[in-house]
Amino acid sequence: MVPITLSIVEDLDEVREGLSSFLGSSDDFLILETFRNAEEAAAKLP
Amino acid sequence: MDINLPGMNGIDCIRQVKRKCNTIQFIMFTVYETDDKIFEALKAGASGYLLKKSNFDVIASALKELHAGGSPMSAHIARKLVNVFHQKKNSMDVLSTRENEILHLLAEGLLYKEIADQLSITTGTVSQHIHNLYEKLHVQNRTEAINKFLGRE
Repeated sequence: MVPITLSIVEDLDEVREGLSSFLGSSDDFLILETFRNAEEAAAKLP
Repeated sequence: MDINLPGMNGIDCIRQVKRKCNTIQFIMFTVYETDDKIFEALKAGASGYLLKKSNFDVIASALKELHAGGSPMSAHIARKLVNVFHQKKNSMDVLSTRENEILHLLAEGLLYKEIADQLSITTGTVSQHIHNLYEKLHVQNRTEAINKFLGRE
């Protein structure tokens, strides 16, 4: 099955890293990028 | 997507990215559960809304649901949306058919004379209907009536 590709935009390190770690450990998801702020996300997404 | 971020917030970020690519999907992940934040995020283009107190399994299920074309929301958020629609419907239910017509025309920006012409009634009758609908909606003026009609109160 093709994994669902995700990006995470969250400034709190523990939340961002926790989500990335949990979701990234599943074959159902592929984490493309994570962002600490909206400016960076707006520039690089999609 | 978090809402409260340093600098630009998550809702503005969604607006920007959606302008570039409308097919990308967003789910909010936030502590905010106020009506204004929920509506603002959904209007900006978010397709789902999860509270940060959601556990990992709920988050994973919500992402799969989003990918499958759904709009996953924390149960508490979904109930808030339902309540807003109920309130809006109930407040407009008190108006007569004619008062509803006139309120629609007011919301479109028509003047009393234009409303009178369109409905083939006198401006005096329009004034009386507007006076009645202000009383029924518990508002003082046209702006308040329109905001109530549009669910912005």
